[in-house]
Parts: sequence; C-alpha cells; structure tokens
Amino acid sequence: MIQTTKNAVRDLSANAESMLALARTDLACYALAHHPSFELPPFLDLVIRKLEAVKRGEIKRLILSMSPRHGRA
Amino acid sequence: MNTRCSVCQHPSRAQIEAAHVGGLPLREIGKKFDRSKTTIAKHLKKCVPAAVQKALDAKNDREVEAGDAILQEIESLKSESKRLQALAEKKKDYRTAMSAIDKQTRLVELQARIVGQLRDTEINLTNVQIDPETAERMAQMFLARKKAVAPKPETIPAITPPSTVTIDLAVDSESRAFAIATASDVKSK
Repeated sequence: MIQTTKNAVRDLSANAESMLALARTDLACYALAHHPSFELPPFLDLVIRKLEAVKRGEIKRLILSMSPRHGRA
Repeated sequence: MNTRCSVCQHPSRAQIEAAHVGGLPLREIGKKFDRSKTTIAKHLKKCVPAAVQKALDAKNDREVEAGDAILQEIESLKSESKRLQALAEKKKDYRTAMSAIDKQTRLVELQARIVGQLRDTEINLTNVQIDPETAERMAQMFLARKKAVAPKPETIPAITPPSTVTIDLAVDSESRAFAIATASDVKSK
C-alpha cells in the first residue's frame, strides 16, 4: 500500500494536467499551488471540507465561528 | 440621459463622474454632491457605460459629452502617468517608474470597465508556477485528504517530469471566492 501511494504521488506530481485537475477540484491543493509554504492544520482541513460541501450543494447555509487570525476571513 | 436617475439629471453630473475617475470614494462624492453612495454607484454602473459607448459611436450626439469627458480625463491621467514614468526612468528611480506603470494599468482597466469591455464576473486567469517539490506536496495532500486512493495506471498519462510546471487556472467566480478565502487564510497564519 505504501509503495502504491508513493507511485501515485510520483505519477500525479509528474503530470501538469494532474496538477491542474488537483488545483481545480481540491481547495487545499489550490491553496498550496498559490502559496507553496501553505500548511494544512486539521481545523482548516475541516473548514475546507465544509466549503467543498457548500460548493457541491450539500450544505445550503454555513456559519464559521473561529478565533481571530485563524483563517476565517 | 436616464430620466429616472437623479445623478444623470444633476447639474454637476460631469464633476461627479470626473471625481470618480479621479479616485474619490463614492461616499465622499455622495456627500459633496448631495446624493447617496448607492445612487452614485447605480449611476456609474448603469448610465455611464451607456454614455461612454455612445461617445465612441457618435461624437455629435449631445448626450455623449459626459462619457467623452470621462474618457478624456482618463487619457490625460494616462499621459501624465507616462510623463512621470519617463522622468523616473531618466533619474533611474525604477521604483517610482514601476508605480507609474501600475497606475497606468489601473487606468486601462478602468477605461475598459467603463466601456464595458471587462466584466468582473467573467473568468479570471491566474498564472501559477509550481515547482516539483510543491507538486509532490500537492499530490501527497490530495491523496491524504482522499484517503490515499491510488489512481489506476491507465488513467495517468506517461509524461516526463518538467523542471517547473506552469499552469493557467481558469477560475470561475465561485472558485475565485474560494481562492480569496484561502489566500487570506495563508496571510493570517
């Protein structure tokens, strides 16, 4: 399984089209493409999952309540 | 002239539009000419592009004067900016020169927006350069988030790894909102 994942990473990252598709479909990847220093803490992962659910239409209304300077804006 | 628009009928209509071109905030313009910010914004959105378009199409029409004045004002600002850019370049003050170029870009954008060539809601192109390390991190992040489901080999085209991957992301307005949110996330970290 580990080897398969490594291969998948290698194959995905070697292909410009795959990068384009990743950035389009995955908000975290899009953020990373824009800011190579971007790290994904668990709470932002949760926020991204919720935002993606909004985009898919699974969530109609979303309220984010977070501390200041944690990426809410 | 739009008979329902109170700015179109304002005696200082030309000054209102010139103030907007000069960069005065809408709230300030509203205060100065006794109109609300919303009214001014509506006028600029609905009436001005029509007036400017008419200015381009038929110079003799009386109504074109307002639009013409805006275009002239922009042109004069552009030539002034070019003059300052040349001066700065002469003095080897490249920072100021770059600033002048930036202003010219904004003026061109404003001009295009006024004549309706640009629409904010249309597709935006973002040029993103991804180095191989970032590409690998993106792939890792994607697989980690999707529980490391390895793609089938036949779905991956065999392409030699480029030293730098350059992609043009066509972002629709919805995705752009996400991008903006993400950018501020990173900033605030």
